[in-house]
Amino acid sequence: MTALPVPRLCSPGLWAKAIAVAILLASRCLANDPPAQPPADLSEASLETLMNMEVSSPGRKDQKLSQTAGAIYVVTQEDIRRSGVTSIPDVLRMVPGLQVAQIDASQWAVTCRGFNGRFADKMLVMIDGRTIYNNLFGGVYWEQNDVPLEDIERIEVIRGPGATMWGANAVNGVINIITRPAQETQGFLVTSGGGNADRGFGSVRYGGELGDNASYRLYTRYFDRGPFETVNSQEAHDGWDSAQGGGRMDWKISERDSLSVEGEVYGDRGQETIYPDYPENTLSAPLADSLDTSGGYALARWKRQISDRSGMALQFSFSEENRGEGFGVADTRILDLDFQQHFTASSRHDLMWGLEFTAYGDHFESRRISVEPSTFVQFLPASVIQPFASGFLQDEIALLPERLTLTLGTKLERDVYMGLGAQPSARLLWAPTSRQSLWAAVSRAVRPPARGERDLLLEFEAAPGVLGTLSGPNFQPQTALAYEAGYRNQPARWVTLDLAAFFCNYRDLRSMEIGAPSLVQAPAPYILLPLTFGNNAAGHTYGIELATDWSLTRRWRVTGNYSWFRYVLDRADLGPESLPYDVEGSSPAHQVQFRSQWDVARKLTFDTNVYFVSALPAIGVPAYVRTDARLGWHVTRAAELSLGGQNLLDGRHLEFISNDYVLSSEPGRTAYLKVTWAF
Amino acid sequence: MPGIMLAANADTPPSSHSEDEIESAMLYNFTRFVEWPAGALGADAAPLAICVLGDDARVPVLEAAVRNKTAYGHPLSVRRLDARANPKGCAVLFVGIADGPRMAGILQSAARAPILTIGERVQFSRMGGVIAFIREGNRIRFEINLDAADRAGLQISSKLLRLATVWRESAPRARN
Repeated sequence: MTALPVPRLCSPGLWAKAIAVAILLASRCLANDPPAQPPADLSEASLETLMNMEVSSPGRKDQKLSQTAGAIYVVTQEDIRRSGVTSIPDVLRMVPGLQVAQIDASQWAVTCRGFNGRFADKMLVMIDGRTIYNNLFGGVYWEQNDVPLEDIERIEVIRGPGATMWGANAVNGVINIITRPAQETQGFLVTSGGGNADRGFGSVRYGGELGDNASYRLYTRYFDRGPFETVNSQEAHDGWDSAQGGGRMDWKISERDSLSVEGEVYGDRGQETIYPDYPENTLSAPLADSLDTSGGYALARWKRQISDRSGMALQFSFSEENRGEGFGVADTRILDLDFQQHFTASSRHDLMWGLEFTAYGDHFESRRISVEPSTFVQFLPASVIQPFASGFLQDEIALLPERLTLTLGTKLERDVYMGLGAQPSARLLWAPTSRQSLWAAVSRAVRPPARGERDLLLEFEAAPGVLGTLSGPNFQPQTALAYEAGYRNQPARWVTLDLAAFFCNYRDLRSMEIGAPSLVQAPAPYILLPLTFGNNAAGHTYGIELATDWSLTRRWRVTGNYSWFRYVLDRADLGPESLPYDVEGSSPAHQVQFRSQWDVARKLTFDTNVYFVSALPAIGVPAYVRTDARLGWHVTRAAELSLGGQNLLDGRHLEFISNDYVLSSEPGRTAYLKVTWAF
Repeated sequence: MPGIMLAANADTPPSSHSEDEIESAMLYNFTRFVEWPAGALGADAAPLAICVLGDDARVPVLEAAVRNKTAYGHPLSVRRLDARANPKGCAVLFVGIADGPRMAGILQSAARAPILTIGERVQFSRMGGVIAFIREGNRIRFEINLDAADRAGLQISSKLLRLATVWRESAPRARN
């Protein structure tokens, strides 16, 4: 157990109290007079006004990120556009150290630093600060959480535990997808295109203004993606199509206050092929199945600059997901309230704290599959409503101004399955010059049990006459203690190097416990074989991640990344009736990426991405090279024609075999033509 | 726990300005709160030269900030300075970060001349520059080295001192 002898954060009354405090703080803030509007000519503004203004400059933000005591990588809108890919997981392939693999035409496995799978459970993924981790299954449904790529401002990826400030599943990393503010997406944007895999796609976006201080955008989008091929060169049963629509509004209420409201609804219709006898996957033939999902979300975020040294943000969101496939229909709803405050306590201390409350609810309706033998999946109880609460505090201490910074922080989290868990971290950053920095960090992270482990009851035929069950009533949190260090250098204006190394020790890792079989007499005699999720596995991972960026000429930028990864199970901890859930050799030991962005002429760009991923011996996936390219031509100022292709030098290849019920298929050589028109 | 503060950085409304723009507007303000020794600025209509060293990108931003502006009746003008050029004709000398390694030398050549030296990062004022811009989160603050101002013969108004962090070479511990 990870419950530590610390004061309880969340007694029943604390919910109400904390909300009251938040409202009180908020109302007090509102009572302040807004500062004078700066005049149009900045030079006419008083020094006081200038000192209160927030600096905004994307270029400088990167500089700030380079001073983070952690392994962080940022994918910009430009990187996304020029990558030529059409989905977020494919964009993420360019992030050094991230392990991205496509399972079938609509499903991906994405993680970093190991433990990948359809339900990669150690990665936290957020869109505009809203977590999209599905607690029922303990993973991220990438296909259900798509964002129009044109609307993304940047994607920040933090490798390593980000649990101190972020969520509980941020054991191995955090992916934060940030959409563009409405004022940056004004006017019409229309895209349309098609090809052999992306059979047809189109989107319409319109952005306008509401008075002087508010802007909005509305969008709708549709795509139809064709099936991949199976390992036997058959057409796979995994095509899908998706429609979505949404909008965002950003309102600058005063010099100090801003409000952002966004929302979306979507519906996907897809096909997949499943193993009806999961987890045996050998007794029945794979079955053609449908995958229908729908959902939406609404989010409001209010930010306020309380004073020149302090700011706060209050965010409310509601999300709903509905997913129907083989074994049942799952409905999940999340209501989330998040408050954060930042203040500069003195010239040395920069503090940040926050409180978050989440009400989570779901319902799973089990479905019987009509072939024999097939597995029956239940969640007991079938419906739940669960509260989660957490708080964090972080202090950034300038030991030597702009040279040596120590960041101490901890998060306390309480959920229904683990009680109270603490996730502290200490990070040290030393910047001997403005172009060089060294950092080191120690952090503890906890991955609490998901409902998909704790309340699951799977009944399957383990062998003729043998009924197997899989459940996890006693499954406990998995913990990690990570040691990281990194070095960044910009030896010249045109080249940057970013190196990170890590060692992470995992305790109480998920294992599969094989119980003693028993003979059940009634109604007809059969043997019962109980399997349970246990915490008897332990292991460690280590590796290095290197990212380099070269602006070779004004028109040619090249990035080269390499990552090396090892996962070692400490087998001594496992008994004979215990199997580790995550096995060695299910993550690539070597990944090499090479990316070239070339402005061929004023209106012509040509970009290539080459990825080498080494074999996954444990699950039988050979090494592969993937080559993606994009040719972009600005026909006029408003219109761009682009030709995108994936896997150009390789007929097709297998990327992953998931240890769940979905049959893998192979991404093949694809190409599409796209028109983008902005006016 | 979503990092909404970090994530929400992107929402900063477009009316916010770049670091260079804000610093340039502040620099213009400084010229009105600093008194140069008598005669240092030349005749009444002579331009007050703001020289920029090691940050070419800042020149147009500064030019825009001081266009048609005057200080003590002197029209403000901006000019790029070569690293080997003598800063003697400058009333204000801005030193960009790119010239960090040569900072000590530059400051030495400007010391005791009636030049308001302005730089970025706290090292600048600690090494003998008069004013240093300092980033505090997303805001810009500034530190004034009063001893450096004295050496240059510059009188700094109390209003400016009130807004600044004041640094004294003689008693560094007294800060804050």
